[in-house]
Amino acid sequence: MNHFDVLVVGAGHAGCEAALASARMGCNTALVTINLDTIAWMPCNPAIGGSGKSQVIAEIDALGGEIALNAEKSLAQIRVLNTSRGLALRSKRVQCDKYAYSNNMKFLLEREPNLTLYQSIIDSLIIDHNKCIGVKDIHEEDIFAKCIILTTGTHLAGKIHVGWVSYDAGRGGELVGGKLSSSLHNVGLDVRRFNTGTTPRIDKKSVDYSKLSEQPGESFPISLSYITKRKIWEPQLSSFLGWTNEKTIETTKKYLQYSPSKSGNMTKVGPRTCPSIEEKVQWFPENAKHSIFLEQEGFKTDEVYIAGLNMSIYPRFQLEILKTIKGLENVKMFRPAYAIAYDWVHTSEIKTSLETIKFENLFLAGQINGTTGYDEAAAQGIIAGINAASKVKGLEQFIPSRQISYIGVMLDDMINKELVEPYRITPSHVECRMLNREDNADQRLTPIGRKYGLVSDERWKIFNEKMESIEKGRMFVKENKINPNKETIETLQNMSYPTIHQSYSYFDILKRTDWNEKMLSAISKEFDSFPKDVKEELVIESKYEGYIRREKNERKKIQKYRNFKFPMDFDFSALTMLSKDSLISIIEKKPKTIAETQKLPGVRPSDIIILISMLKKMKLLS
Amino acid sequence: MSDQIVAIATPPGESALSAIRLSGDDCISLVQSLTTSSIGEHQKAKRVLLKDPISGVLLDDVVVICYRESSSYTGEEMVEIFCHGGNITVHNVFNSLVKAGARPAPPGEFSKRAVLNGKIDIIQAESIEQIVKARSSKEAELSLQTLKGSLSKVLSSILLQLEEILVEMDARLSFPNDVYEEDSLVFLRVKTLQSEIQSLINASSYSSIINKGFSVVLMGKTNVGKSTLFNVLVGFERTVVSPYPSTTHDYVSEIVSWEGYPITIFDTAGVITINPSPLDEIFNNRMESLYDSAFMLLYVIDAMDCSQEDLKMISSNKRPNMVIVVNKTDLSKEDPKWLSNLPDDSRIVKVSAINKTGIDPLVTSIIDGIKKVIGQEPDYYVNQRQSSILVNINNVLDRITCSSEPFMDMAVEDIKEAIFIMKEELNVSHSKELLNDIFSHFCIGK
Repeated sequence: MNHFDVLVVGAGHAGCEAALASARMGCNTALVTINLDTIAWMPCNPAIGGSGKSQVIAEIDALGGEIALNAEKSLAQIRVLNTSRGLALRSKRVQCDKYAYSNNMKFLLEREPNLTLYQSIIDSLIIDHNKCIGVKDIHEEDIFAKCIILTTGTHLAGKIHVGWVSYDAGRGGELVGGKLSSSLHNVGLDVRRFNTGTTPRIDKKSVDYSKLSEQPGESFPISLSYITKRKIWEPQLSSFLGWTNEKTIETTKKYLQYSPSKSGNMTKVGPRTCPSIEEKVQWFPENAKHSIFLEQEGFKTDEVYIAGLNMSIYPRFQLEILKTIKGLENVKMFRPAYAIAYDWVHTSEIKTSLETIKFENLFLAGQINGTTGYDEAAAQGIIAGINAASKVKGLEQFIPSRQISYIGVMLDDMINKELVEPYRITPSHVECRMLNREDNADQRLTPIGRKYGLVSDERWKIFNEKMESIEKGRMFVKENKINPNKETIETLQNMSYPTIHQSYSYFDILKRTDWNEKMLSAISKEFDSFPKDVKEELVIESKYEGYIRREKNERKKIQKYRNFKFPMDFDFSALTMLSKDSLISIIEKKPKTIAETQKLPGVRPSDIIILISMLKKMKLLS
Repeated sequence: MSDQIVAIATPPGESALSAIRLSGDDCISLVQSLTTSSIGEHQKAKRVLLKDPISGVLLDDVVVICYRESSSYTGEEMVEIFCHGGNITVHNVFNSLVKAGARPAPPGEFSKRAVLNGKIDIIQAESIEQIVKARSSKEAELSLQTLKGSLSKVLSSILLQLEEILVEMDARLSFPNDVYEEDSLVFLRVKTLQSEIQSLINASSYSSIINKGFSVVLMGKTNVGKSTLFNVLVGFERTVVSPYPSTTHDYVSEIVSWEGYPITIFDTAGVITINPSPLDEIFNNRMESLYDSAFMLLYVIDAMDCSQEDLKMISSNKRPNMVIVVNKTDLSKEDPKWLSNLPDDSRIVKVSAINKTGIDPLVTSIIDGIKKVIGQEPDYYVNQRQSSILVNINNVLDRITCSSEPFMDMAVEDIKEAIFIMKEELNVSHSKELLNDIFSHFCIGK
């Protein structure tokens, strides 16, 4: 059996979502991996979600992806971030038992109809007249497919660096996909190099927890996936917060010369979102206090991950640095940290659908596109899977726009902005973050997932029930009023809630900063009877109405004017209000339309709004 | 490519000289086509004869100065022509330049080009209009400071701070585990910035007052010599003075400039309190409202004749900016006894308007009063338009600072809106790449 509809190379987070999407869309799909024992492995932090990333997780889940459900099956801890900072940017973070995560995903893949799992190393592409038609593996066997998706992660010519030592390896020291990189290079793809790294793993039993502060998981009902009923998760593993100190910095400085980036052994850039302690010491020399989080890697292991202490010097020095930290004086190290350099393919080679421009039917997803993070990888995986399967089935390609999703922002940024470091999604990249929230990803994307056949009947039913309830709730809060009659005022007083002097619709009273869902639930039994997620939705829609409206208007404005053509002799240097980077880029590239301007590197979404307003002032736009 | 524009820069009417200026690509060669002498040397005055390009008729004997793009007002090639003034010659030269291909410029086009070419910003362009229309040397001085960039500098510092606050807020939201400082600190920064913006708004009332002038109103019973004093203060016989009471019926005013401050002095009829006729009532009302709006009141008392009525008027009109002027001191060598009946904190100046003595201390007292109210003088001119935009920005920021527990996710959007208004309405420019900033301010990393 060597002919498939879709062939996915690599079974990390991108590969698993890609293979599942393709198989669920009815395509005969193969998933080839270097090692079946490390499917969906978490070689770095065993956690998904966090600010910006959790929105991506929600979007994958809404489309019918597996990452959220698999994380729940393997959940070790769940937390909500940014809770004190409003309702629109709350984000969940889930720590997983990394063995369970891998095992659960493997078992699911094994049982998935239309999906074949196979262990092998892919060495090269088979290209026929600018079309990719298959791959050749290490045993010199050909596997043919209508579409091929490469999700190589750090295996693509991976090289681990520790101190001045380096050796060929993929994630966590696994086998490397060495030949594939030269094959990509030989067929003419623009192959580049990035690096990343991870932290040491230590023995849970060697830590003095009295010197660290415990961070338990949330103990209220919650879920990660839209289709999971909210519940209290038990048992959960706590994390522990500690701090670096002067001595940590001093010790790090002493061994800086052994850092591969410092010694010149590894010159390529890593993500600034994950600086090593060596880099932190150089970038923020005056800052001795950096937070570190001890995160347990699973229920049946004593290995603990130390977030915040990426290193790449010799293991004996790593240990010395670890021991400077309060609570880790007698620490035992299971695995040393390392830096890893790997190949990626410049994103000028791909379309937003993730198909390569040079070779039809060849898709790339995950770190091979210059991103970092499980969440980012999984998102590209599901997009590549949908698009490869759509190609096979003759369906339209799915390109989520940046106006409706974080995934869209990521794809657009990846492809149109020059990546100077591995790309991580954060809310600061996203212009429509009041509209595109974690809580409403299902409203934005589940209908699309359904259209492509990814959303199961069960998910579809849950979704429709929720939507019906939200619709009912929207009418309810707008039509019902709270009046300042004697009875109400007394009730408010008894509960020591803020009083009212005029009558408000429920929708409007929720707008008040001193009112919240809990209060309205106490006043109105009917409101209280709506499901929790629906109530939350209604509160956000009320409280953020003005902000949401503003984003909608801006979105509409851009949509309306995106095809505006600049006059022939238009003087771009007059656009002085734009940000500098943006202006430089515009003057250099001389875009023909607003849509082209949007895609230029350095141009921020807020610049486009300013641009439109300036063009209006110049009477070029009406 | 910018077309050639031409305009007469000096006002119409008889004058020894008039100035014409041109701007646009190749405008030097356009002027060159009107003369046989060679022109074009940068910033050098050259005397030439101009002839009509078609008829060849001699137009005028003029001085020409050429400017290259790099250092001209508009940022384009420019020529200034100084010809003879009056109603005929300057227009002949102007018309010939139009015939040669220059387009008559609508008002403001030179400044507009200067803005578009990045030579000045909108704020500076507005200050040019203020300089041209200045009504006092203080106003011209401030507008000149503004042209030199004083206000632009403050505004772009505010924009920079807004962008920094945005970065700080975004860093907290994007990397919740990596920023350890309290959220309240960043909200405090917003509050501090608001007071900075408020001081600009306050400066605008100063700007408006030096545009409109400070009103100093003479008040007092009839026949105490207000008009005599008024004439002395304004420097000429502005009002009719007679020994008879109520010679002045309505008020009259005159603008003077002391130490560069524009001051409008009002002479008023005394308030008629005994059996006022209906006409007297009308005048009384007019006076009352003038007193109410006055920046400063000079209450004039006759040294020989102070009554209970004066003391009553003084206490009912009492305000920080009130000077009690004791007039006709020439008639009495000693201080009148009733002086001690005046409120303790009264500012008293003794003058003899008729002999013009004590006038300088009175003027000083008025200027001191102005300075005291102004406090620290701003070094920029904030006009009404700019001020109302700044008020608008502060209203947006109020959403953050007036809430007891502001939501950071909303606050970010408010800051973005404030930045947008600054850029859109005030055209302030300054910008940095947001993410780069996050990384240079905070140590981020799991």
